[in-house]
Amino acid sequence: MSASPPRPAGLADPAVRGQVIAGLERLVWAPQAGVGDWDRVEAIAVLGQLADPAARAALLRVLRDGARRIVPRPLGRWLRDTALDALLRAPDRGAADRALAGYYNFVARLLHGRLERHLVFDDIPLLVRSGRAGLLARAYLLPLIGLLFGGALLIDWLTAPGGLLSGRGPQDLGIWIAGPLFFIALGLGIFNLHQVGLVLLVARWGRQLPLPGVPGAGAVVLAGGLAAAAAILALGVLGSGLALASGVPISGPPPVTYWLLLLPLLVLPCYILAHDLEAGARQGLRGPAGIGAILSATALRIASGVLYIVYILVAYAVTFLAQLLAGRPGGTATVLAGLWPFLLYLALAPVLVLPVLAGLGWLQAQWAPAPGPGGVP
Amino acid sequence: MSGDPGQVRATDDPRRPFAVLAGPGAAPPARGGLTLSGYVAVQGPIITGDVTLAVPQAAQQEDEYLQALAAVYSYWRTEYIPGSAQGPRPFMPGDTDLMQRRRAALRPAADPASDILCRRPVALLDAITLYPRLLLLGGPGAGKTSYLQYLALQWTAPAPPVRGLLPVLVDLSAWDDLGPFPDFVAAFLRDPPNPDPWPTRYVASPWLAEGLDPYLRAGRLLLLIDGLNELPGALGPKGAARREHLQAFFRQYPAVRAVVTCRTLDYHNELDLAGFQTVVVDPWSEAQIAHYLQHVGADLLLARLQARDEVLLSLGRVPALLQMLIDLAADYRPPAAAAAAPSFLTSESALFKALVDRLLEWAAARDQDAARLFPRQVVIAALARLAGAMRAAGYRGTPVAHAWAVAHLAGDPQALLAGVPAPAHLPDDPRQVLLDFGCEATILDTPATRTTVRFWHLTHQDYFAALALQQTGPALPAGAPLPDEVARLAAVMAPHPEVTVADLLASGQPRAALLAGQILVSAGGAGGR
Repeated sequence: MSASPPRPAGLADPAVRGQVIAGLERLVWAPQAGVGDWDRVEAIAVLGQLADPAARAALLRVLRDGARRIVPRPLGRWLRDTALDALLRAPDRGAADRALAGYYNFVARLLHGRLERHLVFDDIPLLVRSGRAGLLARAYLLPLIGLLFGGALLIDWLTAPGGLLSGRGPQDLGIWIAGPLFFIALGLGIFNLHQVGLVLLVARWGRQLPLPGVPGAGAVVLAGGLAAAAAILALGVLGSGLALASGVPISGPPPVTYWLLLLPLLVLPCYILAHDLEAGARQGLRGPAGIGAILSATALRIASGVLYIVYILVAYAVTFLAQLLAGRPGGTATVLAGLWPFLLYLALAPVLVLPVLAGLGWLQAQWAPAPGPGGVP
Repeated sequence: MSGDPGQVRATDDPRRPFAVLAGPGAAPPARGGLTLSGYVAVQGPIITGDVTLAVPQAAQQEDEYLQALAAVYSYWRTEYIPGSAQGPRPFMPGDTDLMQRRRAALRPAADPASDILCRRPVALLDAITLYPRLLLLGGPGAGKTSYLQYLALQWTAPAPPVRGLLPVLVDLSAWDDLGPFPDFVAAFLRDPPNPDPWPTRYVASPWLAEGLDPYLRAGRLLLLIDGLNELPGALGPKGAARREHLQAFFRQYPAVRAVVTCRTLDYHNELDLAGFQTVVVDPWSEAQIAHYLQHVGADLLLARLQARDEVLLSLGRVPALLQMLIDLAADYRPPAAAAAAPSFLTSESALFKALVDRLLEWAAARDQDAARLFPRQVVIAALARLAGAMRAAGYRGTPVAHAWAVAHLAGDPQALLAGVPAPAHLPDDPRQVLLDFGCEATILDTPATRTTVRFWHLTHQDYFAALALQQTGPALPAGAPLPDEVARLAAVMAPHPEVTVADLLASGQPRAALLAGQILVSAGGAGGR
């Protein structure tokens, strides 16, 4: 005959709390028959109310792996998002913030090969609502900025006199490989950085501003047009930038500089339209219309990435030439340091575009027909 | 003929369910309207294939109906417990999240089971403009009913979120027959189950009841349907029949906009195929609690919040419980130099106990004869018996026949008088007097016809049902299908909740850990500090 378990000493008995947490975890990950989906959601909410490191660890496990490993799949993502919400509402805010900072840490994500950029983007509205945008900035954006700087310094060191890629001969091959890789990495890194900023911007101000919306097939057509325009402009700027090598202007900034300034203005419209298309297409829209929307959104995302890469590359070329013409030729780091006006403009361009879009949205609202009897807007 | 709105036909376009054919002699609609090739879409009130309403008269009736709505729902929040906390308490919308379905696979034939469900913050008013039908899920006291009343109020404003809709708020717990849902709505509009003598919860509109069908067909109503979990006979065949009626209704009237509320754990996918988009009501955050406490000037509770009182942080997540705390704190006079928490702020059961005492005191001030007649403990025990009987019989949140309630208050009417001889002026069965006293206290609720009785709110019924469990035996009888709320409250009231938690965990029941966790939190065992 087995002995009965010892009676708990009281509610504060850590053993009782530990058993409850373990039971709730089992309920979330391996529910027995009779446990409903909403029971699992509620179990996560209860874990969020327990101010206990083990409960936080349990929530973090769901946050990290719930979307991939919990079945059924639709529920897995819902449970994962619920775990995030529970952590954001947890009574011990400091401990929850530390746990979340570890989760979003860019370097850790890079090392584990789990950048999950879209997942991070999706979390931003929840983080902004709970006043935790700063947490994402510290954990995700700052390390990303640090890596960009570190990469720039590394390239500067490699291409400096005496560096691994500085000489002639076999090193030329290294330069030809490392150069494009550097600009692609730098462009995509800044793309990632900037897109997080855009999501933060729209999550914070988007609801207050009457941003325009294009319904139905019109959005797909507009997206195609916008992606094509962005790609053509980017390629044109790239071609002009490369042509600089054969025709250095005598004085003043080369004409390509002005074209270059157009590229960042397209970033916000591309982002908003791609987001709207993805959201619309993923809300149960199936068949060719849904695929068209997703493909258009993907084209817009790719075009946006190309915009960033071309912008950085051509801005680098323009800056290099400007320094050369000024008689102050320097290494990679010097040129990159000279990029700051372009980077500042890139960062601020969406803020310039936002009022224009809000104005368009306002006009659209004024001209929109009144709702019909069904009240459908 | 001037003023003739013309012939009307239904269309297949859900955006424009009705069109007025501009035939010979047909005139433009009297209000609004957009002329398109061959027909005019009605934007104002209502003209249907079978019925032509006099438009100016309908517009006037609509205005009167909206004014009545505004009168009811703008004052309700200030009168929750009259005479206690002072000052206005406008509804503060809490966080709501959209359950957003996203495709994970591009193939047209991809299995929907591969989709994902994301949590996206959304304001409920925005969700209504985006989706015609919403299912609002939340825990007990999360503010679902208040949300519906708040929504109704929004449509009485000059610029509602979606133009042209008339909100109609109905309570599913009052659906006591087995007829079609539109018949229930019409009956509800004719004679809503308002408490007697006050306050008005629902607006009566015989005019709208008579002309309901055209409005439904035209998609002109915003149906605010409260309490899917309180559908009478929810667990039996009658409940199933009512659910089928509800589903049939939404199929029959595709243009109808609706918001349906349900307790989260009581939702069993009833409306999944009726085009509903799920929105969940989140518990309040610490910042929201602080904001509300500041707004109503609850300084005592604000101080406790700043001191990070664990019970307040836990109970305050539920707006209804926070409201109770505010009402109790308004009349609380702390002893000199006492830094301890007030007794009502020590656990959820202590909060309910203090609230019931407060309500009974208030009723005693209004009905001193009844108060002298029944000792308070007798009243509480009788209400617990009634709640226990209602739970056992499957009446959860729903009304019972008045005679049934009387019979279950006490087997022996004289026992209510605690041995004191009945006064000569006692007009009736003392159980009837006690029921009325419970209504005065806003613990019970009965309409003017006195045909039915129900508890004022399901949380009240659950509290008394938990008390009944305390009085009659073990808190958690093995295998009994107790509602979670009742089981949780009963365990929290027990002298040693930790024993119940341990027993639950050892029981091997599939949902045991969830209930154990809820008990732990409610009883103050969340721990950490």
